Amino acid sequence: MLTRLFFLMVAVTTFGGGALLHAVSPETIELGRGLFEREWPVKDPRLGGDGLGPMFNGQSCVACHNQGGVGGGGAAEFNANTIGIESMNIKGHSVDNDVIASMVSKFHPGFVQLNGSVVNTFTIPHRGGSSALRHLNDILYQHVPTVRSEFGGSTDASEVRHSYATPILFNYKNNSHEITLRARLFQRNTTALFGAGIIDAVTDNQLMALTKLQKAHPEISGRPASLRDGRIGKFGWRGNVGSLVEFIDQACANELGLETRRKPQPQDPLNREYRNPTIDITDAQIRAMHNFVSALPVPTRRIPDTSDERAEASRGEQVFNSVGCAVCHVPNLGVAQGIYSDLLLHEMGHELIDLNHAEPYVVRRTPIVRHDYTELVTTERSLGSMGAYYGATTTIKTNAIPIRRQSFQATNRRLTRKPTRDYKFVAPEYPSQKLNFIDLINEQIGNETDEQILSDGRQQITEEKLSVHAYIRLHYEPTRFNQEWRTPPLWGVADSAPYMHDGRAETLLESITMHDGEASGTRDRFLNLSLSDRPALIAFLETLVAPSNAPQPRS
Amino acid sequence: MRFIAILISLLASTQAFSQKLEPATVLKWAEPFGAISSAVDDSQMVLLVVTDDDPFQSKAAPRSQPKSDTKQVEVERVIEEPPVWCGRLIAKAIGKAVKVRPDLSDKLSLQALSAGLPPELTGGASSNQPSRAIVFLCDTRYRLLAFCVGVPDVDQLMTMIEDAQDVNQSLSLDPELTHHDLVHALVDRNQPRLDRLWRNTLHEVTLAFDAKPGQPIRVMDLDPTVERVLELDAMFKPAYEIDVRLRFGLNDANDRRRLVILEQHPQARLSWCEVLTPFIASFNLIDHWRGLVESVWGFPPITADADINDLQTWVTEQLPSNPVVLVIRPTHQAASLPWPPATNDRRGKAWQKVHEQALTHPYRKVDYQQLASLLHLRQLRPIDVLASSPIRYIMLDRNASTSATIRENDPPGRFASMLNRSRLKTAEAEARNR
Repeated sequence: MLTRLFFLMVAVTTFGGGALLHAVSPETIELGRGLFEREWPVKDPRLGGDGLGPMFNGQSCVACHNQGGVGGGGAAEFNANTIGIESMNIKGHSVDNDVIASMVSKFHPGFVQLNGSVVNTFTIPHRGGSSALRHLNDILYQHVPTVRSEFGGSTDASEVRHSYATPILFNYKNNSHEITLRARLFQRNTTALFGAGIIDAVTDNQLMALTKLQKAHPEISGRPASLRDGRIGKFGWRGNVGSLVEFIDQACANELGLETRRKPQPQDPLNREYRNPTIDITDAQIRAMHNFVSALPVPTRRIPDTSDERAEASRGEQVFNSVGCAVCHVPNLGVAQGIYSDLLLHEMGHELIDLNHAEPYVVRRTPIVRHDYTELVTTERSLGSMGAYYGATTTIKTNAIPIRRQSFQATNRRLTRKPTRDYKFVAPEYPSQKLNFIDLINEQIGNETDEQILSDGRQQITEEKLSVHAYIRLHYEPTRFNQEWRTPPLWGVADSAPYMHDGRAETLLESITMHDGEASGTRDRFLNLSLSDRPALIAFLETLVAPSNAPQPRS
Repeated sequence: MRFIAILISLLASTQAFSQKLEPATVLKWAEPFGAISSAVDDSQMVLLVVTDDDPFQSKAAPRSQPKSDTKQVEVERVIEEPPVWCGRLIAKAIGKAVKVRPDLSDKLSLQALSAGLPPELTGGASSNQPSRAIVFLCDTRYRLLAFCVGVPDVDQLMTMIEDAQDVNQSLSLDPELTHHDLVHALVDRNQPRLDRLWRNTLHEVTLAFDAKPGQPIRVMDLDPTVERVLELDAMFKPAYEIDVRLRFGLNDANDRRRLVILEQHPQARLSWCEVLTPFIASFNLIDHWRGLVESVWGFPPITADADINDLQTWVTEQLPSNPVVLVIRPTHQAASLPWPPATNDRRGKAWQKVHEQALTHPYRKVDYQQLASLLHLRQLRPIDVLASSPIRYIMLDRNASTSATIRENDPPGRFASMLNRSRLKTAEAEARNR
């Protein structure tokens, strides 16, 4: 009864008794809470899937989302880990994509996708996977000077800082090639979900209006986290997830290894043949969790105990506005009153690079209709990888033609392309493309010309087509997408340490001082405040606490 | 609902406010390092605030108190504000601490010391660097118990006081406690508070310390020079530089100003203080405060009460007949660089020759403290010791109104010419007098 009353209160509080209230049923929310707190088992017989894993970061959502109650942020010890290749050099004859894949595999096979392509980031799940993979992960971690907690993340903020500051250098040589690469461990801190339902209700128009407003600002120029499908992302540190339900969907797959109807679970790179018989979590369960997370209460403002402290916090809020924090940490955003975020992406400086980058900035979308008389279309079904959930990754590839195919092609087409001797890769600072395309209509008439069963069991079909092709041309604006981050909402900030995307800042003072890039001017104005004003601003932030009525873990 | 909560808290604060208006003991600030009656008990502690305020200005005219409304004054009547830049904040923290622990009003003796570079040493202008402060806690014999860099808030101050009482108790309970044992006890106490980088650094320094035999603690028997502190600082400095770089995103020399601002907050140098404290706890602060301050500020502290009577008398006697040369002692941190340069290149040889020539004139070696006091007393033209090239010599002319400054990157020939000219003038004057 009490639980029902709590959720009813939560629903009313969260949605202000407004239009969203009708969607919330206490039973569904309770079901969602049960799933959120559930310790998922391996091999769930109810659905027939493989259940938790095979690779996962935690056994339940609440295992990481627990600060200040169920759905809160997580300490650094729950951070998710990604290894990113910053630069790489392969020396030797005829470096083609196969050679790249082979050599990068020596560092870690997780960089090689199931379709054979090589990407520059690889998420290392904390648990699960084959014993061989765990052994490889252990070897990799020996190169990273960080102390990891039993949960897989760094034990604290200082360990996050040290691991980020120390690059991993790898070298391997065989008879024909030598690879030298420089990589780094990147981490992502668990975000608090309080008020996530309200964030979901913020409209794209409101975000575009803020973007327009900031264009006139001399220092700050936030941009929407534009997604390929035309929406604006609002969730995730990169803002690369469009809605809360998608965020939950992806989190189930990536963090728990629960395959959903849309999102494949991460595959063990040393067990590529393995297939989950079916999904691990139904859409109804995803919706129930979505309803629960949507109904989580909004963070609140703590009223300080004494009049002195209240006066200091009040002054701190004024200072917060006057130095410019509120330009990005916008106090109210549509229905999200007290959010202290613009949900836009901002360039935050070189020290905050992470190679799982933001989605490129789409500034224009042009619809195009084309008639192509012949086209070779090859289709494949891609399988799961974890990278995109934390942000997009970059493919490492060469345009060199493999030497064994060159002689044939050169004979037939008089190609004169020379085999690549050395191959160099540097993680791009900006998007490599200025344009991209999304298919809308691709009606094709033609014959199948080739059908192959690939070594990994996939079917590759090549057809000659006469096609009518309608698509959208995406125009990108180059931005430093490795260092663009969504402004994190400050509501509840006092109960969500450590700070920054990877939890490297232990205190609010450290966090503010780490702001760079667009925020450097604001940071400097903060530092130039008097010694009494700086603590006042922090005292104000410390009044932004987790909701007092947040559900508490049952076990 | 929220309105009612605010109303209740306002009522509560009004009640608390009326309680605060009751008469309270007003803690006063005393001159630094004054004698403390032997009658006071061992638990009494001295809280010394050292700031980089202008020592001569503070001595002459205490800084005007910041204006505040009546209510605020009444609330904070428990403590007087010291005449330093952070006086109000320090007073506020102590005031709050005394409210939490009323026994502290009898246990704390408050002292403040302005020890920054005066305009005499910054080219006549007030320093545009952010202000600095260090807070020490010591016992009545001025043995160091705890310290922090920056201005503590009440929580940080309470932690410091508890740490200081811990050390004080150790020293009181066991008079035979060796320095070695105290170091280890404090290392064990502070180690869990540190992250891995600092723990490793502390471990290494402790191993180095253990290589030396322990000595019994007797005040004044320990090395009274600043080098001891600077040596320790040199061992911890690399870790500190890494620490602040990673914690605050400081990358290069341009971020120096940001670091100085951050050092106003004790959390910036907290770990540095935690690792240094075991090795300097129980040191006599009268002997060691200058070394500690110089290691943090990067320049030596200057006080208004330095005794330069000998120097002043000597200069007064010499100047009517001879110009005098002041050979400037570098800061302790720069003392490892030999002067004149020991190199055998052209420049090195030239400076060695000119240095010898300078020593044939009436000369004295003076440090920054003596120099500042002399310039202040004689109202000579200010010089800038913070410029990129260190000052090596100052030549005071016979009429005593002008001085020439010779810096390290000046051509040695210029100084040699000045010395020759002054020798000729002196000879001419002597000839005339005869």
